Amino acid sequence: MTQYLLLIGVLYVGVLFFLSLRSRKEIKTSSDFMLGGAKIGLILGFMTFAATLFSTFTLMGMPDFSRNNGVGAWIFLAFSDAVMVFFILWFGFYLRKRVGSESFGGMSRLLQNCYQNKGVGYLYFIAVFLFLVPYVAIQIRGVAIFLIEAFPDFIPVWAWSVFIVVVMLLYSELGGLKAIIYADFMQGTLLLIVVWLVAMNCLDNVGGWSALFEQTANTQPDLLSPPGPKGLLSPQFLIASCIAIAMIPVTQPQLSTRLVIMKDYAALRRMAVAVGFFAILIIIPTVIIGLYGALQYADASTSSFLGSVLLREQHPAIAAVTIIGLFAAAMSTSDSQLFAMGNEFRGLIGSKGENNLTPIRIAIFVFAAAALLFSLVSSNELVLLARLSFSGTGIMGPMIILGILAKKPQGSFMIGLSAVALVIFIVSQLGWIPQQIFNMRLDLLLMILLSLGALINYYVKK
Amino acid sequence: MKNWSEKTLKRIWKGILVAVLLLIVFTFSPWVLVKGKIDPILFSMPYHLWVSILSTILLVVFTGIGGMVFYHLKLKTDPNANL
Repeated sequence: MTQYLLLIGVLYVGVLFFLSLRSRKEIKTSSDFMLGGAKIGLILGFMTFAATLFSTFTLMGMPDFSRNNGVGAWIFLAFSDAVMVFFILWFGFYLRKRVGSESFGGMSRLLQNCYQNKGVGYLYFIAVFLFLVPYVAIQIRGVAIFLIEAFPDFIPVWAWSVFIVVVMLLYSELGGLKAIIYADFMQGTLLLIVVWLVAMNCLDNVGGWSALFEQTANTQPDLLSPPGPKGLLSPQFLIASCIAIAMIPVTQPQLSTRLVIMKDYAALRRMAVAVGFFAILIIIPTVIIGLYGALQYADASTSSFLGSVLLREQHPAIAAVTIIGLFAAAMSTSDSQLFAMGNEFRGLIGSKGENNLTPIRIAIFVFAAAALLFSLVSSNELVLLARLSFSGTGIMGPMIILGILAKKPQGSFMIGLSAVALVIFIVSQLGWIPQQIFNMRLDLLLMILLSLGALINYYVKK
Repeated sequence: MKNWSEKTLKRIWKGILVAVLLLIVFTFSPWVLVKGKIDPILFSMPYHLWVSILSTILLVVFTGIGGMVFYHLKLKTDPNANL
């Protein structure tokens, strides 16, 4: 496998740095660096959105999630993604209208303009910083534990993590957002190919599509309906997850930015449909791999299951492509997030960031370092960590939608309410207060209350 | 669609919104989220999986149609939009 890995790896890194250097020539201002020139067509827009959305969490997290919780994983991610793409039609339109023809200085600055309040930008930035850290960390963690499986006794997990972060920083530093978008195109395609190759191999091993479900029905029937054997996929969990996932383009700046930099609304709506179909295409194989894992590796640890199914059972060439594909998936999501954080910081520091990239680069570095530290202490429950990220940033959703939809500043009520909700959510995650109140999940309750608050605020201020 | 009246486009857009809402409610209802129900099986898939896949495909199709309708509606009603 090592020879294949070296060959494909050199090719991959070569293409990556070629794209990066090519993009570097087009950079003249900080806006070119942070927003990639801001006119992205359908194909590039679709691939960069999809590659940013689907990451290590999809290729490694979802098979493991399906292995443990069964076919309900489909609603958890694929159906929620479909709700999200429909929501993009509406939210994307109003977001683009609000930004208008001005240069996009990030969601923090946009919110400050909408609310005519500096605090809202800082609140958004804090929420995004806190909850994107675990999301970037799972990319680093996912690839690191996988590389440990691929090369046991080579270097420790922390060294792999540092290596991944260094490559990520070097690459995004070289070419800016445009380089990331070009690379996303390659990485999205690679991810799709890899996940289907692995799934087809699983189907071959188990005796085909029908045999997969028949054997699961005979051995672990609980996997074939929600809430799954562990009871995790309850209606409340799935509804709260759906809301949090539908809110991703609203609350996570790496995706909001992609809605804004699309060439026009026609490209945006087509991109939404393409992402919806891409989600279906990429999540089906993860369910196959997950059910196969439940049959063959029911009691194995996450890393052992993934190491076996993604590496040891594969032809060495496919195993090598898988390693590169996984690395690529992690890169495409993480560098987009690092960049988005840099852009948010640029927006907050205002004119000082317009022609000076140093503070932005420092912010990106600090954010990457925080993610690296978190990855070293986080668990291997990649999907649940990603969900934590979606829910945490989702708390800001109603406040953002209100600010963007309203034609005049909406006061500070929703800003205060969102800040309180954020603190309650963090405290509940730390285990200081229960995560269920009156038989209702706290994250779902908070979302309902915040949505009601935003609605009341809107009608009072109208 | 370009020649459709604003009223027709509005009516279709509202119809799509209602259909999407009903689809979401159905998918999270006890008809789909039902413990232990495997039959009826379709293409070897258990009930929950094929129903939820079908809901997802329908929702993406609604996104395609909805996007076109919304785009033409906004062309007529919102000349200041960044289309």
